[in-house]
Amino acid sequence: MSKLPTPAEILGQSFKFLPQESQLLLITSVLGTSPSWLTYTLLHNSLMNGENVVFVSFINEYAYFREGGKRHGLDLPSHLKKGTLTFIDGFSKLFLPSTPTPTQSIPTAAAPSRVGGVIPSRGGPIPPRQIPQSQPQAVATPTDPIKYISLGPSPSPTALRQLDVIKTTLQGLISNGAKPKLVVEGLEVLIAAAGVDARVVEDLVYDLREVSSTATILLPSDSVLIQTSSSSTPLELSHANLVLSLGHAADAILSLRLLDTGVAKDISGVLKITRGAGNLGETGGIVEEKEMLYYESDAGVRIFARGSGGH
Amino acid sequence: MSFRKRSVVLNTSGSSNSTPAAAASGAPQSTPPTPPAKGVRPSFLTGVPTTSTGTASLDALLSGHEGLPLGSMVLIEESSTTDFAGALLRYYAAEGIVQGHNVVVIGAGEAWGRELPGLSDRKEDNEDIKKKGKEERMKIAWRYEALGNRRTVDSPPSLQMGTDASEPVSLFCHTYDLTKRLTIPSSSKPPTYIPPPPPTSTSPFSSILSSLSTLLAAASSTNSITRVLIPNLLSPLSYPPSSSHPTHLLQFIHTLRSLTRQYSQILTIMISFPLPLYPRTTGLTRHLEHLSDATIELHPIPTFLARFEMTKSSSSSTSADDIPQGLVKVWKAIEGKKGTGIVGSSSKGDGSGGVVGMEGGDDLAFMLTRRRMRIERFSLPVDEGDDGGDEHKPHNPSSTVGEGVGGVEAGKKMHKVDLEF
Amino acid sequence: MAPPQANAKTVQYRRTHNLLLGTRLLSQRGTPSPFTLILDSLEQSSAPLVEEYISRAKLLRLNIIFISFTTLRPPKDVNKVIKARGKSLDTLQRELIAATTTSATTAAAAGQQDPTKVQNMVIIDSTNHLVSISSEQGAKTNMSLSTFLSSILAPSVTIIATYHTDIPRIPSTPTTTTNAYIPSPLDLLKYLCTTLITVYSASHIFAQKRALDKSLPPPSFGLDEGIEGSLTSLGSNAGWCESCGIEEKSRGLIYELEHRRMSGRAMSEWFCLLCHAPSKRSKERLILLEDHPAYNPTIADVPSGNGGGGAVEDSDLTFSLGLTAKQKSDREGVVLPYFDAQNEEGGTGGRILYVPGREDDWDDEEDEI
Repeated sequence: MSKLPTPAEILGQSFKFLPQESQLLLITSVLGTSPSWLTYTLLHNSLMNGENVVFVSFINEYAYFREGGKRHGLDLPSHLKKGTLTFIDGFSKLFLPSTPTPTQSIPTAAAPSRVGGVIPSRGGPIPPRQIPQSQPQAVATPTDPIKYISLGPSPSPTALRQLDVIKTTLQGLISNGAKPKLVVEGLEVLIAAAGVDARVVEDLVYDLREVSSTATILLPSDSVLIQTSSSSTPLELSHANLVLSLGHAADAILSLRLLDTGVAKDISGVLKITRGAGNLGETGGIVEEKEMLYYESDAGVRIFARGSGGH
Repeated sequence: MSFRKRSVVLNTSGSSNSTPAAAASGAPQSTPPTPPAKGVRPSFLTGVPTTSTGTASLDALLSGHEGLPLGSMVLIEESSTTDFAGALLRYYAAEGIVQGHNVVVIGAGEAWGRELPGLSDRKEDNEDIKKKGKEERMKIAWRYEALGNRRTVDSPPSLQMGTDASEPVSLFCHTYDLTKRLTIPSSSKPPTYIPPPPPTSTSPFSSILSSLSTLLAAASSTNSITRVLIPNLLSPLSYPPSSSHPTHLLQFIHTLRSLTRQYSQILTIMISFPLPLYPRTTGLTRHLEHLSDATIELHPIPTFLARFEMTKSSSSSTSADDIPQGLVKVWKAIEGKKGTGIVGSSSKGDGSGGVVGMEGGDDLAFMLTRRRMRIERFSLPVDEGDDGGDEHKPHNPSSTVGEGVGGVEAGKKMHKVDLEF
Repeated sequence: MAPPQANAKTVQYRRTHNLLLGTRLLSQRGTPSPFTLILDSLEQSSAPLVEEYISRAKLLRLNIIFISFTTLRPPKDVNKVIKARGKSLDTLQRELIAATTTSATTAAAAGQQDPTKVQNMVIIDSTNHLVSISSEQGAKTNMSLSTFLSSILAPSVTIIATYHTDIPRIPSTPTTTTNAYIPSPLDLLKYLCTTLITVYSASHIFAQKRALDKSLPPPSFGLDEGIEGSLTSLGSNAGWCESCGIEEKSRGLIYELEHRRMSGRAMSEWFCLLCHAPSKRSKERLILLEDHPAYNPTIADVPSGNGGGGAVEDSDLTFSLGLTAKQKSDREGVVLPYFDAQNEEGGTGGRILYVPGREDDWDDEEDEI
C-alpha cells in the first residue's frame, strides 16, 4: 500500500477555509500527467469522514479506479457495498445502445463468453481480472452500485436526459440536509465526442453543484485546448469555454502540469493551487495559493515545495 | 553477474507457471489458473498480461511492462508523410500472426497485409545487437540472449534457424526482416480486413464498430488474443471527409477505448495517425491523445540520413544501423495499470524499461534499415563500441568529422553523449 | 495595459477630481452611471469590486437585484436573486421588470414620498452567458442583446455587468439569419456602457511595475504566461495587503476606469481598491493607483515592509539582517587587532610586528628586525 498526501497537506490552510456549500474545485491536467491521485486523495478523505460520494467518469471504467484505489489503500468496493460511494460509469456504454435486451445481457451459464458484442456484459462490483476472463455473470440488480450512462450511438438532445441520473443520484443521497460530494471526470468527452454544447455541460455542472456539497471537476487544460485564437476550431473554443467558465466559478483551481524544464527522475510534475474567482465573495472561502512539486512512485505520491529537493 | 540472474528470471517466466516472474517483478499477483495464451506474458512491472508489439525496442519503451498490456490502445503519430509508423504496425501485425492471434486490420486492404515482414534469421540479428557497446543496448541484448536461451530450452535447435513461421516457438517477441515476406503459418489465422467507410456515409465509423464488435464477441468466446490495427487513421485516401468531425472520430476512439476495457484480457489496438494533416496543435489530435493509453510520435529528420549519406564514403555500410532517421517522442506513456502516473520509474534497477523520454527528457531515436526497425536512446554513433571498434578505429583520429559535418547540432549531440557516460 | 507612469508633478486638482469622481461612481451617488461594464479575467475577478458596489448601495438603500447565471452563493446583501440559468431572454426580461416595479410599489406601500425615486441596481454576474443566450435565441424571439439591455434600462435602474474577457465565444452555427457584419458582442457592450472598468490583480500590476522600474520586460500572467497547461498564475485574485491574515480573504484590486460623461468628455483613471482603509480616520478604501506606495515608490511615507518596492525584502529570509541596539553597541566596542598597530610603537608605520618564538631559528648577527 502506498501513501497519499491528505487534502489538508495539498490544500494547506485552504482546506479549512473553503466553503462547505456548493464548493467547486477545478482540477486541470495536461497530457502526460494523471490527476487520478488527486481524485483518490479527495475520495479517501470524504469516504473516511463518512460522507456520501458520487463519482462520475466519462473516460475510465470502475475497474481502473478500483485497482488504483487499492494501491493507495482505498477500498472502493467496500464503500460501494456500503452505499457511501456511487460510481456512475459514463464510459463503458456511452456510445452504445442504451437499452440492452435481456437475452443478450444475460449470458448463458458459466460460459466465459460475452454474448452480443455490442452490449457489454454488466460487470458486477468486483469483476476479477484473472486471465480466463470470466466476468461475473450477475445481472445488474436494482441495487447495482454502478450506474451507467449511455447516450446511444448518435447522441440526440433527448439522449442528454440520460445525464439526469447524476442529479437524481445526488438528490437521493441527501440526508438530513447533508449533501453528497461529487467528482466528475471526463466531461470533455461530452463536448468533443458527443457534440454536446459547452454551455449545456456548464449548466449541468451548476445544476449538480446545487445538490452537492463539493463538486470536483477534472478537465484537461493543455494549452492546445484552452489557448484559443481566431483560427481555433469549435472543438477548441468549446473546450476553452467550458474550462475557463468553470475557472471563473471555481473556488480553487488545482492544476497539474509537467515540469517546465523537462523531465526529472524524481519529480512527476507541478501542482499549482490558485484562487478561483468563485471564492471572492463574502460567502466564499479562502484559498492559499501555492505551487508544489509532486512525485508519484511505487511508494505513493509525495508533494514537496520547490527547491526542497525530492528527498 | 546480473546478466545470469536476468536470464534465469526470464527462463522461468517463459515457462508455463508465471508466478516466479510476477514475484520477481515485485507485484503481488494471484496465480493465473491457466497458462497465458501464446505470445502473452505477465508484465515485468505489475504482472498484468502483456503481449509484444513485434518490436523489441518498442516493448522496452512501455513503462517497464516490457510488453503491451492487454486492454490498451497505442497511438503512433507520424509527423511526416513517410511511413515509418507503418513499419511498426506491420511488425505488430506480423507478431500477431506468428503467435496465432487474431489480427484485424481496419481501413486498409489486403495489399497492406501482403507486405508483412517475414521472420528474420535470428543469428544475424543477434550479432547486430551484440555490436552495440552502449549500456541499454547491452541490456536489450541480454534480453535477446535470454530469450534465445529459453528457445534453446523449449525447442530443438534445428528448428531455430528456419525462417518459416510454422515452428512452434514460444518466443515473446520475434525479430523480423523487412526484406522478407511473411508466410502465414498453417496454425495461424490470416488477418481479417474491415474496409474503410464508404465515401458517402454519414456516420463513417458505425459499420466498422459493428463488425469489430462482432469479431470481438467471437474472439472473446474462444478467449483468443486479438490485435486491432488502424493504419493511417483519417488518411484522406481511405476515409471520407466527414470522418474527421470530432463527433465521429472521437466517438469512434472513445468506443474503441471502452472496447479495450471491456475486452481487457484479449484486445490490444494500435493506431497510426498522420500528423501533417492533423497536427498536434489541434484540439482534435489532443483529444485523440488523451483517449489513447500511449502516444508515441515518430518525427523523421531527413538531415540525419543526409548526413549519413555524406559520410558514407568513409564509413562502412554496417554503421547504417547507427544512423537515426528521426526522433521518437513519447507524449503519453502507458500507465502502470496501478493508478500511478505515467512514467514507469524503474525502481528495481531494471534500467532499460525505465524513465520514458518525455518532452525535453531523454531523446529517443528510431532507425529503420533495410531489414529492421528499432528505437534507441538518441546519440551520434560513437566510436566506443566493443566490437565495432575495429571498424571505427581507422577513423578514430578524425572522430570529429561527424561533428564538422553536423555542425552545431552535432556538437551538441556529442556533448549529450558525453554527459550520458 | 500598464497604467501610466506616475508623475510627481501631477496637478493636485486632477487627482482630487478623479478620486472624487471615482468614489462617486462607486457609491452611485449623484447622477450614477446607468450602465457599468466590468471586464475581468481569471487573473482578477470583478467580485471584490461588485461586493464594494453592493455594500455602498446598501447604505443608500438601493434595491439590489442580482441576476445569477453562474453564481450559486450570491452576496447576502442583495434584495432579490434571479436565477437566470436555462431561462429565455423573454422570461428574464419579464422577471427583471417585475422585480424593479415591485420595488417601487413596496416602497410606495412603505409610505415613501416618491416611489418612482427608488433606485434599482441590477447586477449581472456573467454577461457572457447573456450574450450566448441572446445569440442563440435572438433569431427566434426577435430580441437582441441591445434590445434586452435597453428594455431594462430606465432612469431608476443602473446596471453593473461583468464580462469575462478570457472566455472565448463559440460562434453559433451560421444560418441564413445571422448577419456576418454585426459587431462582436463585446464591442457592442463596450459601446453601450457609460462606464467601462477593467480589473487587474494588484500583485500582478505591482510585479509589472517593479519590472518596468528596473527596465525589465514586464511579466505576463495567466493564459498569456505561456506555460503549458497553466490556466492561472500565482497572485491571481490576490489583493496587496500586509494586514490581511491568511484567514481573511483579499478584497483589494486595481482597476482602470473610463467614464463617458454627458458632455462628451471622457475621464480615464487607474484606481486601487484597498483591502482595508489606509488609516483610522478615513474609511475610504478607494485611492488612486499612483497614490499607492507599492506602485509609486516616490511617496515618502512608505510604511516599512514589502510594500516599498525599493526596500530590502527580507521577509523571506530565514535570518534577520537587522541589529538590536545592544548588538550595535557591542559592535562598536569590538577592538580589531589592526587598530593596535596604529597606536604607540605602531606609529612609525609599515613595521612588521613579530615576536620571535622558541622555534624560530634566530641568528642575531644576520637577521635584524
